[in-house]
Amino acid sequence: MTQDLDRIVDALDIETFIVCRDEEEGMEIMRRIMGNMGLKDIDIVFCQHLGPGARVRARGYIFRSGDHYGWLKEETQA
Amino acid sequence: MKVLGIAGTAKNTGKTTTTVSIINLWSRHRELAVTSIGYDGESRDNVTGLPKPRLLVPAGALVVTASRCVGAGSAGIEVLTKTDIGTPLGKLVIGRVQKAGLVVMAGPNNERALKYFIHKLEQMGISLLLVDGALGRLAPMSATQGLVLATGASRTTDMDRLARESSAFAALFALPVGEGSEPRLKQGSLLVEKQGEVLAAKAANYSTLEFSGVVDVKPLAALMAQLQPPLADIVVRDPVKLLLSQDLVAAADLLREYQGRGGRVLVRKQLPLKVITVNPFYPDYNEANGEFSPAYLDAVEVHRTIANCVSTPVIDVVRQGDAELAKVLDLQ
Amino acid sequence: MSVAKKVVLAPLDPVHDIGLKMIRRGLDKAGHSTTLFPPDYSPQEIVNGIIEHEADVVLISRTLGYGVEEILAKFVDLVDAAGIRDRVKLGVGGMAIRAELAAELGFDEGFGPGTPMEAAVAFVEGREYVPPKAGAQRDKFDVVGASPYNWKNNSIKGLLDQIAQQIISWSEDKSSPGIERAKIREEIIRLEDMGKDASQLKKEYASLSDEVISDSYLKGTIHPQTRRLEQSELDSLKQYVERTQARMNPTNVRHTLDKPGVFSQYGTGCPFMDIAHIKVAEGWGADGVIHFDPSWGARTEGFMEGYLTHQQDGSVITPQNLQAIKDALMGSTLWQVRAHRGLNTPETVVLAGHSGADLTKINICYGALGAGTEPARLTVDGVESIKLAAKYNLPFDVVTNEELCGVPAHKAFAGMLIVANLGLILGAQPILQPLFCYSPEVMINETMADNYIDFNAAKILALREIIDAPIWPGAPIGFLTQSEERVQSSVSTGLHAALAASLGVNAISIATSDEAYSGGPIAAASRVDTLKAVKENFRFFGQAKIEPTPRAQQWAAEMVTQIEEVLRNVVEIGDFVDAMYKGALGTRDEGAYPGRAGKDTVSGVK
Repeated sequence: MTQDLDRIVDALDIETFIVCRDEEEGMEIMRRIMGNMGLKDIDIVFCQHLGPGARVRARGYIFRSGDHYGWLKEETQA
Repeated sequence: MKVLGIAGTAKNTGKTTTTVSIINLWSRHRELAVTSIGYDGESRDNVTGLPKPRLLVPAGALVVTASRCVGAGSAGIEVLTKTDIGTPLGKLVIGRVQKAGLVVMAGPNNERALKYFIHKLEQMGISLLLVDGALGRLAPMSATQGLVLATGASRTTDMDRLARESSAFAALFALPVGEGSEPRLKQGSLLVEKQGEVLAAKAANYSTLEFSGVVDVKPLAALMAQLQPPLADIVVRDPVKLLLSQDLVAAADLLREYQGRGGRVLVRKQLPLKVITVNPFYPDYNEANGEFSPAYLDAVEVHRTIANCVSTPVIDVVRQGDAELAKVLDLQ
Repeated sequence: MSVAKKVVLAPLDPVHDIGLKMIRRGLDKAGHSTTLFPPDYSPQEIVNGIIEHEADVVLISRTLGYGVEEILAKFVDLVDAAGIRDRVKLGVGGMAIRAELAAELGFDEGFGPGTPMEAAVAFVEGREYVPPKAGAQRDKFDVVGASPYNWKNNSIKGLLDQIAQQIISWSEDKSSPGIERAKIREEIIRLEDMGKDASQLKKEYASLSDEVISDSYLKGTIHPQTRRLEQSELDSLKQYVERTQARMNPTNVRHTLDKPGVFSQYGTGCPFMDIAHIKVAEGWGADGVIHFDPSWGARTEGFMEGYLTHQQDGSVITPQNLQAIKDALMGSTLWQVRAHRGLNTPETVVLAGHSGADLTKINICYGALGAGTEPARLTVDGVESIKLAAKYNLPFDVVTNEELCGVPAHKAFAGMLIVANLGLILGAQPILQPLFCYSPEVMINETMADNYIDFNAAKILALREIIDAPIWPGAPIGFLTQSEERVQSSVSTGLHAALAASLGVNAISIATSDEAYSGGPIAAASRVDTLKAVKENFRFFGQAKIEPTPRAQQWAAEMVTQIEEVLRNVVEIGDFVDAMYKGALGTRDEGAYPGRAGKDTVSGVK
């Protein structure tokens, strides 16, 4: 997975609809989901609770400005 | 040079097993060449994007395949002749297997190209050319001298149907050779019912109706229904021209009926059905989990069902071994 | 044209094929003789038809996927057995078709979904179809166009000329460290281009710079928020750019329109990351990109040198960073390097010009009233910048960002027109950049309570009543209407783009769908969102127009009157710098604060 993540320019967003009681719970669940997927440097970009749950978009930054970018290196044959 | 075609009625009928058996039986002695005329829709290699190699070819044999396939399997192949016949996998080449192994075989897929290679291979001293078939590809087999048909439970688990189909196959291949008597009316293909009707109107003046192209059962039925005694001879080029009919069983029945009325159906070129190999295996589909698992009909019963309705030799290669096959095909 | 061919088109599906019908029309137009079979023909009937029609070419379609390979193989087999394979060219197309598969099944050609009509026609005519190449050269979008700069309102023009004359004569005998450094920079570039040593000049440059900058020249230390990029990274960059350029096949967002050009802003902090972002923008249809530098750059005298990366918002301007970015751009991409605020405006124009930028940005009023630079300093620097822009042939836009502070549009426009007119008089090519935004003025006056169309349209109409000049709304369009929600954000940008196109403006600057997100840097993927939204909007509207309500015209007329009032006020005050201090172009109440960076740095000697 790490080698593939290296090809992401900067961030991996995951967007979905979570059944929850309010925004707070939605964000909590989303953070856990992101964490369990091995993503770090996580932030919730958007969360809106309406109806049965919340539309949530979370972001895991893979590379920030100033890092050593994985995709800058020679592309190896997949 | 012998040219033998191997066709399967469905996937998993043991065509590959049969082909490999024939390769092993022959190559002990004389110059062998192998090619394939089609694409079985099998899965592709994820890396190369080429069809997965199925045939294990011994060292010394020649193969006809596309240039991009030459380095693809595990066999080591030396290219002897390049041709200008193009395919999406590159131009077709004749190569010699230096190191035995699996070959990705992507050969000529039309009759004209196959004829070209038959001619060339004969010049090169080959004594047996095996033409591995593929689903949906029969026409080039007209260029061979005999056919091996692989069938079995994979085609249908309905024994009655399997029997009827196999019998129909055999019947079409058993049509006698002949030209019919003059005067003859030459036609191309007989494809649609209207043609059959129109032809029937003209037929009274002719003793022979000869077709150089495809003859389909529906227009043939329409034609035959209208013909009056004395019934004209119907001449087709070879059995393959009838095999492409939409309904084989109906075609065989039609021919039998015409013959019963006193008519003759002849072929210009004989293409004998040498042997039918049977395979009791079939993939059983499990609806619950959406997966296939191997299953088998009773091998003895499958063999008996088919052997009972054809006069062609019927062999279960796995059960009976190669010896029968070698004898029937005269491979020693 | 080649010989007319007899073409038979036949669906092997039990349903009608729209694709075949469209191809048939295309072939008919190209002069070929076509016959389309109905969908219920059996393969035998199709082959019979081919024989009867003596077809040269057969096009089969098969859209359903199940068992497609066997059906197609059997069809070719039938053609072969019928003895006519050598006489016809067989092509097959459909949803499940891949060209390679088709050829392996015995067809001469296979057309997958999305194959253009030209490919089918080329096949029929026996020509090779050459799709547009990756990296194909397209022309740079022309923002300025054949703009004649016709003034439509003589009294406003008269007032502007008076103001311009005062500014020009006032700045004639003045200079600043910014201007001096710009001159030195030009010299440094000239020497280094000749391979000569410029270290003495650099010392002089350092003496005119703030400590953190001069330290970088004299001691080799760099700004704490930056780091130098390593040689290995530079080497990788070169290869990365080459690899990427080879596969660039950008899309065109404009559909049937010939404008506006679409600009995307970048400024991740790292020039290399910027390049990655720029490539995404280019690939997905941007005509140009805009360099966004860090805010501390505006308050710091002098630029550093070297390949420097910066951990936060905005990419540091250094000669090397700019060059690296320029080298990575596609030939057809417009590049804007902004000089519109801060203590480095003239030198920015010099660097922009030398690095091969296409455009810059200059606005004295915004920089002085909304970005913290002292008005007198920015005026003298601004005049020099405009002269340099003319010298380097860099058209510049004049943006009314002070609207975002709360300054009403008409005042911001007065300021914009002053700078634009100054530009024309000094021989430059100014571009007007009003904002399409949900500004404080709009919030207070509730002018966008019903729709986002009228007030934005009014701005364009007002400007057009005054002058015929290129207009390039920014910055970006739809600013403050977007939320962090990706769809809402993209839709808002897309619709604002549609409005801009409907109003016939020359260019637009668009946001990413991360515009409102403040938790971190924008992700490259969010650029795709808005470029797609813009493209889809342009497709939807085509040449059709968006109709504002009569209020737009009403507000436009009011704006023109108010602009004239403001300019009259400036003339009465008699001194442009003074006018800014006195609030003529935006009062403190309205959020306009004369800046203090560079205070007392204007010298009386040039």
